[in-house]
Amino acid sequence: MNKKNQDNNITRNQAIKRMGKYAALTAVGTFLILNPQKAQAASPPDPGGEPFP
Amino acid sequence: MKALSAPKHKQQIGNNYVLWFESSNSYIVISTTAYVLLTCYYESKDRDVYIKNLQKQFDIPEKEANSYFDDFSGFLKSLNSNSQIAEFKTPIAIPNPNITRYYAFGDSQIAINYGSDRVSQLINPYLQHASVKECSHVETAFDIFSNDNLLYLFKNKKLIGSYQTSNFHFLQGKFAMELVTSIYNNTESDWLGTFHASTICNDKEAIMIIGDSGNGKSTLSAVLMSNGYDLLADDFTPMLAKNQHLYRFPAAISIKKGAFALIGGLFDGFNALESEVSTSKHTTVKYLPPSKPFKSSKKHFECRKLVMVKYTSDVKSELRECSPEKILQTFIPDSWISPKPEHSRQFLNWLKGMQFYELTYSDNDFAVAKFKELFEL
Repeated sequence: MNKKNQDNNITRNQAIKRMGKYAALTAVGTFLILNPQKAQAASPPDPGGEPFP
Repeated sequence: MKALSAPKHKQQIGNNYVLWFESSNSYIVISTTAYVLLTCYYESKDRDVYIKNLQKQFDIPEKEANSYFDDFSGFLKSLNSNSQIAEFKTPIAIPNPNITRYYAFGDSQIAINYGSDRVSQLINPYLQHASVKECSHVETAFDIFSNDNLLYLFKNKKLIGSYQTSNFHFLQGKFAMELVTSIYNNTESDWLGTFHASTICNDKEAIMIIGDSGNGKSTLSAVLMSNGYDLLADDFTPMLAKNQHLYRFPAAISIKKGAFALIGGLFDGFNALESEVSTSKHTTVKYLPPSKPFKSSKKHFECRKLVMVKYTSDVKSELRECSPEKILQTFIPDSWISPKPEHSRQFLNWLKGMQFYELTYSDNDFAVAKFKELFEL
């Protein structure tokens, strides 16, 4: 049930980092928490720089 | 454990369960094992009962059962701490427009009053191909302008929303939603969601394409269009709730500078298009119009296949089936999905019937051949 965590012998925080930003690692396994956008959106601007020139 | 909200809907998809929580409009993907233990959590009136149930039913030791209880409790509480505010409703008078443009989409005619040339660059390049000199009967008029670091969107003189300039992609998204409701003569509450996806179709079905920015969605869509496929929507794909069909959204594809040579060789007239500095990407872009005229083309299609694409120049090209959870990690957080319980139920039912694929490619001809195969499946 919790094989991945035992095999890798890593901390819970490390495991969460490895699984990406939406994952929560519980004793029973990974929970993916997926929240849709709260409003319709186009492609977001690339990070950095002036977003509305 | 009635104190914590239980999922309103649940659906088994692949090897996992997807649960939907109404209070936060969150989708949770968990293993079948975790789902069984969570169900037991909801059925137990307190910690002691839960521990005993787990010991009795699954022979789980007390220490482990305690750990599950703590994890579920903490996890379920965290579901209500989801904030993402992009919109302000500030009263303001509509200024006289600087630029007015008219657009025709089939029988639907709209006018947009832009406060400035800079603001028009957020919308006009995507719709330029549908512009007309004048309209006999304007059904919907939009006013879009900026004031004091906020962007405002009005529809028929009614304020729809205002957005920080740094969140201009929410203004573009809301405008796109309002344009869709104008074209299809309905309201936002009729739509199940708007997906951050490009969608291509033949005359029978649609295939949705998703992928992180920079993975070639738009370029691939254009390449597929040049191979005779119909581009239903680029970047913004609306789904109607009542039939769960994807609908045509008649915006141009933005092609980045790096793909100008490739796309220029596929479409007559592309090289003559003006290149512009993109508002969202740090590069110049050209806007390639859809190849099918909106008026005479079929407006909606069923979609049963979704492909996550990844362009990498030095990999072996490959199309393979993909697990739903991998797709959902990109698909759900990138999309707006209506928070209505009925729409969420329809969304989960639609997901259940989907086939998911992952396409890694370094070669457009390979990608086109694979899409041909998918359409023939």
